Amino acid sequence: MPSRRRLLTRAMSVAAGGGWLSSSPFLPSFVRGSVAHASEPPLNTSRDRILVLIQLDGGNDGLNCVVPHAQEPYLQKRPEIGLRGNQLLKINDELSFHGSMRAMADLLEDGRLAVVQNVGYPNPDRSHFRSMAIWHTGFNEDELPTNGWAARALEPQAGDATDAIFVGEQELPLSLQSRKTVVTSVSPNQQLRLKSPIDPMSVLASHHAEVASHDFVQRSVLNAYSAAKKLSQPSKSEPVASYPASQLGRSLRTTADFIRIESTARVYCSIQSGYDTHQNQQASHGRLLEDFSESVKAFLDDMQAIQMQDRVVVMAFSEFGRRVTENGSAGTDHGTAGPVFVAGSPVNAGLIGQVPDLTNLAGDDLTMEFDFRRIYASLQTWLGCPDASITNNFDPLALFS
Amino acid sequence: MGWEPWTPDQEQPWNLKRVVHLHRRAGFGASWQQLQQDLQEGPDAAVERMTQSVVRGATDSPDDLMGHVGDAAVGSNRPERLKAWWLLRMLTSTDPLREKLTLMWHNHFATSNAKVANLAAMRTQNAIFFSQGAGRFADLLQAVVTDPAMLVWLDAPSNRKGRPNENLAREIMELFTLGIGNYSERDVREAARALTGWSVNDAGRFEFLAKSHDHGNKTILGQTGPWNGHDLLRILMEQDATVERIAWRLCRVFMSVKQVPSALVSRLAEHLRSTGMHIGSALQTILRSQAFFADENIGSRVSDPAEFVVSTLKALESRSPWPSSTRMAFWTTELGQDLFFPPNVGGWSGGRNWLSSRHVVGRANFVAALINGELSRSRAAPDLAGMVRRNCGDTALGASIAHLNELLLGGRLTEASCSRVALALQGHHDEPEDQIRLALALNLALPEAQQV
Repeated sequence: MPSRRRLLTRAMSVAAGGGWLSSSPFLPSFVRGSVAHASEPPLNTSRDRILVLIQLDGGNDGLNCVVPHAQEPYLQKRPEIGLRGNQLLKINDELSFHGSMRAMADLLEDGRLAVVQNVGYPNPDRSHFRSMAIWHTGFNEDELPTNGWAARALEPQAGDATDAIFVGEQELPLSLQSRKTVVTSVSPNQQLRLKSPIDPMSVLASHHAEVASHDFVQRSVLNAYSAAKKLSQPSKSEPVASYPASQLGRSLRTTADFIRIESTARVYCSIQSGYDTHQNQQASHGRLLEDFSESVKAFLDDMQAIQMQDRVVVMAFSEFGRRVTENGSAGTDHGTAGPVFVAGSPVNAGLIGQVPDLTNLAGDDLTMEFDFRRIYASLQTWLGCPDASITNNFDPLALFS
Repeated sequence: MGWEPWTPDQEQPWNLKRVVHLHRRAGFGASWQQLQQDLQEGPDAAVERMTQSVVRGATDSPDDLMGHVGDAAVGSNRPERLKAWWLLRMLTSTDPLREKLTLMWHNHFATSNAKVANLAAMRTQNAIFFSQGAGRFADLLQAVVTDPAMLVWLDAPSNRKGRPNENLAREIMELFTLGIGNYSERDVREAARALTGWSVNDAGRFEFLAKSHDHGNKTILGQTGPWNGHDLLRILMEQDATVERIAWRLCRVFMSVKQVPSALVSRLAEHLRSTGMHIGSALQTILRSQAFFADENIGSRVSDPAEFVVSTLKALESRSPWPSSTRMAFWTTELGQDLFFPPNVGGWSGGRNWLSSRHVVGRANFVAALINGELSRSRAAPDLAGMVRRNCGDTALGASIAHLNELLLGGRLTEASCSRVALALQGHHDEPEDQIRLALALNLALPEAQQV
C-alpha cells in the first residue's frame, strides 16, 4: 500500500427502498408491476447494475484537476497556469481539487467519489485517436480489436433489447460497439422518433432479420427502426436535482430519464468535449470541470431521489493527461497518466494511489501507477459481466467492497 | 483485380448499375437524363466527362454567381448560410468530382469554425480545397497549412521559440501526411520547433515572424539542419508514408471504407509517386480501373450525409420548387455531418459511424420531410409522378417502384425487395401520386440505400 495514500471513510449508503424492478424493458409500469412479484429476480443482484461512462474528450489536464499543490515543481513548471490560493479546494495537505470542482469535493466528502490517481497504460501514445481507441478497446497492441471493452462485457447477455445507450450528438464511441450488442444512440436534445408516413419495418422485418445478423449495415438499420419503435424516449420528467444547462448536463438528465423508465440498458455513455487545452486553458478548463462536477453530482442526486443510488456507478476518463510543464501559450500539450473518477454510493470513496510525484518524471511526464484496465476489471466484476480479455489479465482495483 | 483499366464484358457489362455507381462515388449522383446519356455513350466517354477538369489539376474558384452567394453567406455571419452555399454547389456543380474532392479534403484537413470563428477564413480554406484539391499534393499541403484557418485552428501563432506548442506539428504528421506510427515523439517536438514563427497577422494573413523562429538545428526523421516550416513540409513529402496515407485517403472516399486490400493501396501509392502525387491523375486511374467497377466495390460504401441528401435531390431533379439550401444544411447536420464544424481534427470517421440509430432514423425522417414538401420554402411536395412519367412514361405502381430502384440505386434492390415494397403499399389506398411518394420513402429507408 503506498505510504502517502489517503483514504477517506466511506459514508454508509442508504439502503435501497424496495420495489425498483428493471428486468422488463419497455412495458408500461402498470403491467410490469402486476407481474413483478411472481417472476422478477431478487433486488440488487448484479444483473440490475448500471454503469454510466463519461468521456472527457481531448485529454484532461489531470494536474490542474487534482492538484499536488504542496510540491514545489508544480508552480515552477506551471508559472502561468498553476493554481494557487483560492483557485484551489483543499482535499488534504498534499492535494486539492481545481477550485471549480466544488460539487466533486462534496461528493468526496459525502462518500460518493473515488479518485484514482496516475492512471494510464504502458508505452503511452499521444495521439488523441490512437489513445482513445486504446481506452475504448482495452487493448494496446498494434492492431486493435474492432469492439469495445464495455460491449464485450455485455455480449454474453446481449439479446433483442437495448444493451447500451449512447446519449450524445457525437459519433458512437467504440466502447459500446461489438457484433452482438444492441446499442442505441439518442440525442439529449430531441426524441428518437421515426416520422416516416410508412413503416419501413413492413419491408424489412420478414426478410432482413436473418441477413442482419452478419451484415453490419442491415443490422444497424433494423436496430434503428426497432429502437425508434420500442424505445419511445421518456418525456422529460421534473428531476429533483438541477442539472447544468450544458450538453453533458442534458445528456446525464436524459440518461436519468431512461433509468427512470427502466430501460434494459446496462451501460450508458456520454461525451464532454473541449479538453484539448493547448492554449489559454485556465478559463475554459475551469468551466469544463465545473460543468462536469455539477452534472455528475446532479445525476447522482437524481439517482438517490429514485432510490437507484446503490445500483448506478459513473466512471469518467480521458485519453491522456497533459505535459507537466506548461507550453508557451498558457496551455499544455499531450501527456500521459491522469486521474479517473469513479462516482456513486457503491464505490469505496476516497483518493486511490500516490500523490503524483513531480520530482520523479519520465521526460516531462507523470509516471503511471495503475493500468486503466484494472479499473475496467473492477467495473466489469461489479456489473456482473466480466470479459476475459480484461479480467483474466488485470487485477481488479479495489473500488467496491 | 487492380488499377488496370476496366473494359466491359458479358459478366461485367456497362449497365445502369455501373453508371449510377460512377456518379454516386465520383460525384453526387445524377439525373435520369445524365444517366441515360452515359449509358449510351459508354464508360470511356462517361469517365472522361467526369474527370476532364480534375486531370488538369488546379483551377480557379467556383464561378462568379456562386462566388456572390458565398460572399453573402460570409457577410451574413451565419454558419448555416455558408453550409447552404456549399451544399448548393454540390447540387448544381458542373464539376461534381472537384466538389467531391473538396469534401474529401475538408475531412482530411478537418478544421472547425467552432474554434476558428471566422466564416471568411473557413470560406478561403474551402476555396483552397476546391482550386488546389486536384493538383499536386505538395502544393495543396503547403497552401492549407500556411492558411490562417489552419494556423488558428492548431495554435500556430502561439508556437514560438523556446515556448513550443506542438499542436500543429503533431497533427501535420499524424493526420495530414505520415500517419500514426511513422514518426517519434522527438520528431513531433523538433517539427514544432521548425514551425515556430508561422503566424497570422492583424490583417488575417499568413506571416513569418523571424524573431519568433527557432533558428537552431533540428533533427526530423533523421535529417538534421536549421529547418523551418517549409523544410519540414519538404521532408514530410519525401516520406513513403505520406504517399501511402494519401493513397489510403483516396481509397476511403472513392473505393470502400473497409474492402481495399493494403496491397492495392500500396500500388495506388506507387502510381501517385510516379506522377509527383498528382491527385487528378490518380483519380483518373481509380475511376477507370477494374477495382473500381468490380461487383464487390459497388454498393459497399456507406454514403456520407452530404452525399445522401444531395444525391437524392439531384436524382429527383427537385427543381420545381427548388429545394431550400438552408433546409439541406439543416438535414445534413441532422444526419451527423455538420459542414465546417467537423467533430475534431481527425474529421468524421465515416463508414459504419454514419449509421447510429439516431442517424438512420434521421435519414428516414429526411425523406419523409422531402415527400411532405418540407425541403422547399413553398412547402410544395415534389412532383414525383411527373418525374416518373417523364423518365419512363409509366406511372403504374410496379413500374414506378422499378424506376426509383434504377434511378437511385442503379437497380441494386432485388426483385423480391421491390415486390415487398409493392406489397407494403397495397395496404395504403392512396392516390397514385402519394403511392409513389411512399415508395420513395420505403426505397430510401432500406439498408441498400444507405450504401453507394
